[in-house]
Amino acid sequence: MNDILHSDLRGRIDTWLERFPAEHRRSAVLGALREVQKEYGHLTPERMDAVAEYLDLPVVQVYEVGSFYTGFEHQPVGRHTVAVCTNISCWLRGGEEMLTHIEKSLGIRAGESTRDGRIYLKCEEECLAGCCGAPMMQVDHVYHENLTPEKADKVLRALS
Amino acid sequence: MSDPITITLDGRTVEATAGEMLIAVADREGISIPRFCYHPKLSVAANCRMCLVEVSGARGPAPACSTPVVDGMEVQTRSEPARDAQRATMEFLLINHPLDCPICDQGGECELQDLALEYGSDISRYSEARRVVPDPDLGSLVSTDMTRCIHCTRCVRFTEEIAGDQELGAFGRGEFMKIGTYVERAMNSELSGCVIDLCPVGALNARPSRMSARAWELNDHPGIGEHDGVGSHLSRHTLRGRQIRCVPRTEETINESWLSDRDRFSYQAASHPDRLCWPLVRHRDHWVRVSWEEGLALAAEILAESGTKAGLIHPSSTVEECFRFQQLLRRCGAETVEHRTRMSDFRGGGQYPRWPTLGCDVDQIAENDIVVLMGGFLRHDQPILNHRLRQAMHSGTEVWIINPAPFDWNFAPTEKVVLSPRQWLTLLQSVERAHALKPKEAYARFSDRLARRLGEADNALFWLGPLALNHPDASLLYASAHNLCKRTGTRLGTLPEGANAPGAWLAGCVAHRGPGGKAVDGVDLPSRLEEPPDLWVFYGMDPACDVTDPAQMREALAAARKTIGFQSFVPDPQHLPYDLLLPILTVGERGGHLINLEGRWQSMTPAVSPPGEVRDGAEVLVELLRMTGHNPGFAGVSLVAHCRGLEARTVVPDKPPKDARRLPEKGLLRVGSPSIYQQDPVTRHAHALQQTALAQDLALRLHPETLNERGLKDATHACLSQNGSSLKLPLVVDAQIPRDCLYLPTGDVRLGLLGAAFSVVDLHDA
Ligand code: SF4
Ligand code: SF4
Ligand code: FES
Ligand code: FES
Repeated sequence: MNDILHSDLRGRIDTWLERFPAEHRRSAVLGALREVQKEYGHLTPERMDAVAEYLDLPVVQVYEVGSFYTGFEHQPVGRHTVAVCTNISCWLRGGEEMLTHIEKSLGIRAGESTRDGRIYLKCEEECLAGCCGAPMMQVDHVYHENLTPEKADKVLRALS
Repeated sequence: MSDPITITLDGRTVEATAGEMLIAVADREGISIPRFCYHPKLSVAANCRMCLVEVSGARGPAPACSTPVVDGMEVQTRSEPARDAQRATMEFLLINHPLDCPICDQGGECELQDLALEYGSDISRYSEARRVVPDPDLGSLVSTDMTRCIHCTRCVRFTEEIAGDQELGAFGRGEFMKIGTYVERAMNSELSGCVIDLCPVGALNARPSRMSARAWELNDHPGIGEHDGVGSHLSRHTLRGRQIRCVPRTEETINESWLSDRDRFSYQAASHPDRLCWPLVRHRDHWVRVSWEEGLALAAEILAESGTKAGLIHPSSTVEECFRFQQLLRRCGAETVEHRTRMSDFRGGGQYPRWPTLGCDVDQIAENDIVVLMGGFLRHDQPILNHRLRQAMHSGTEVWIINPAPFDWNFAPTEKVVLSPRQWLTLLQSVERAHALKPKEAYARFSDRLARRLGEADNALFWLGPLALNHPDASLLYASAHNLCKRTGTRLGTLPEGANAPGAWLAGCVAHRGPGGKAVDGVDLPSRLEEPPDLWVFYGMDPACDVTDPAQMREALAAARKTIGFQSFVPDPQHLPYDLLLPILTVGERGGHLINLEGRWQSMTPAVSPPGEVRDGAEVLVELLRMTGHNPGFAGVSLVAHCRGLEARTVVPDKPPKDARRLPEKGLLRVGSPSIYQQDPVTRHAHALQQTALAQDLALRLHPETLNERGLKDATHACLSQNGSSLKLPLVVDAQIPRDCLYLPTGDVRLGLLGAAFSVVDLHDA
């Protein structure tokens, strides 16, 4: 466990634990998994096992959370996560075309990462709640709204 | 308790308690509301929506399983809006369900099939792609067909809430949600089979009986669990005279609606290929089949011509078998008759009560303020008792555990100490003394705290488990526990092995006690082993596994002139030199009485007839009594009446031992008792149980320092030697094990002739 959750990472998980009553360690699973993903890029059963051991929970409860949220990756992915919304508002405003355009310019399909490991084009299932700026995409934790192909390309090119 | 209220259910006025769930009230009133996820013994999940009903004034249909009743509530369970809602739920459930009932093991006893008949539509309006889910391998006991799963999560809640170790989970979400273990691994719980009963569809089924019968072809025979002192109620399902499977029979005061895997799957032993089906006589190193006439004549002849005799019987034998066994042997002059074949300390026999009990009923465990257990791992020894103890702990009972190893408990005991068995007696004595000292000083030490808690508690219970009962100083431990219980007003209970230990005591299969506890002259087992008899007779127990010291037993067998076995399985003739084997009934075939550790008499009737020429051992013993010129007395029912009479007459002498300790003071101590599926010959022959990790894992557990001291720092295996025999075994490092001990389960045939537990052993490089 200590190999995976080194002291710095444990410290970050502890800040999550502090937010909940001591008997509710389970509440910190989500935060802990986010910290682990931030550290390693994606989750693995071993990493989730380490979290379970640290929080003193059955491993299954950690797997449940890890597999429920689409925010968690279970395979290695590119450094930056790009999610293009194709849900209803965005779809009406050309979201699908936007996705096709981005797939072409990156040379990958949704769900894949670029070879250089720079960009991960995530399959987004749900509305990202930025409808008033449709079509939109989310890059890491930043929204880019009222997209045009040029604007999207510019944003993507700027990613290191 | 909240106030009683009245509600109207389908136009009927019924009484209820505020806060009760609607479905529970309806169930009590005999009004059936369809449901999948609801189960009265599990938490409410309300995720299947099958139980929707119409509640006046509510905005839409309400789920009956999660709607608390309030005074004056008016509920319609079968009105058109209610039926509409139920039908709509069913349509959703069936979207992805294969409905391949003809090839589904659940067909005929499926909650979905039944409800689909009533609420489903004939035609599906759904023509899109359907979900197909891969089937995880959950091990040898539970089969999976996960495309049929309806995500009710009963199985998940069971593993978390009852089995106490959440092995199953729901992964992913929405349409992609899957029930399983995520990382493929077998279920390891001792109650895992219960998910088969709970699963409302054919997603989780019994693997050993998969595809072997249709539910409607099966005959149901009520029976009793034959492997532990709880005596769970169960049903044996048979088809054309064969045992197909076993399921729990609800008995709220014992097993509720649960059943241990050991009781559920042990029936497979009855059809094991090594089943002993005919009387066999040994000719040098092979068996020759003989008729019963020849077999009995030979048995009578051996009994008549042998001098000293000793008979050992398994504590799962029925009261009838035990009584006849001791009757035959004692009439024929046997000095040793014993069922406590794993016990080594026979001093102070007079101090024990007429028979062992728990000290309270199974359903009263939770009424105790504190339960203390010394020397036992209940998950393996008595799975249902463990469930009850866990339940009690969750309802506020303190549980204190003293053991030689931490063990994998499925609850966190209030206090748990891992202590070398060398210190157990000292611990008990100091608890005893601490209680004698009146003033409440600083109670810092465990023994002081325990003494104080036992003194304070109104209802306290102290259990001595098998590791304490088979301890070389068991009589001293018992005497000390007895004193401390007397002083603190604590009830003392013991947890011996087997399904009928109380019956074996009552019937007189005890060294110095005849039927009803009447004192008789006798030679106890350890003395008998020192000075082997002319004749050994074994009944339902395996002298290679079910004894304290297999190596010593082996020598004592070699020294005897003759050996007779009343057995259900054929032993290896080279290893166990029986002269004569007589085939007796085994699990599911036996009739008779078992007395559980509450002292409750439970009767069994045979579910099937035995194979070959197998006979009821009690009858064979009666025939042998006649052939050896003795009058067996009592026929059938009157034997039971006689034994019940003994129950009332028993007198208990009280004479604690004064002798010194026998446990060796120095050296690496090997400690252990049988693991869950090595406790009796029946489970050792139950195929699917033997394939589980619980049966297969056999390792030495010890402290890392113990390894370091022997230069075995990073070793994965080591050689254990004892009595000139040695064995290579895998190592498990566990810093909680006392430094002077190693833990190794016993009763396992793979241990060969290693010798007794609680003795000094040597460990070296493999
Ligand atoms: S689970 Fe029930 S409804 Fe489904 S295929 Fe099996 S028997 Fe039929
Ligand atoms: S496997 Fe059975 S019990 Fe478990 S969630 Fe699915 S349907 Fe329910
Ligand atoms: S539909 Fe794209 S953000 Fe809502
Ligand atoms: S039984 Fe009520 S929602 Fe499932």
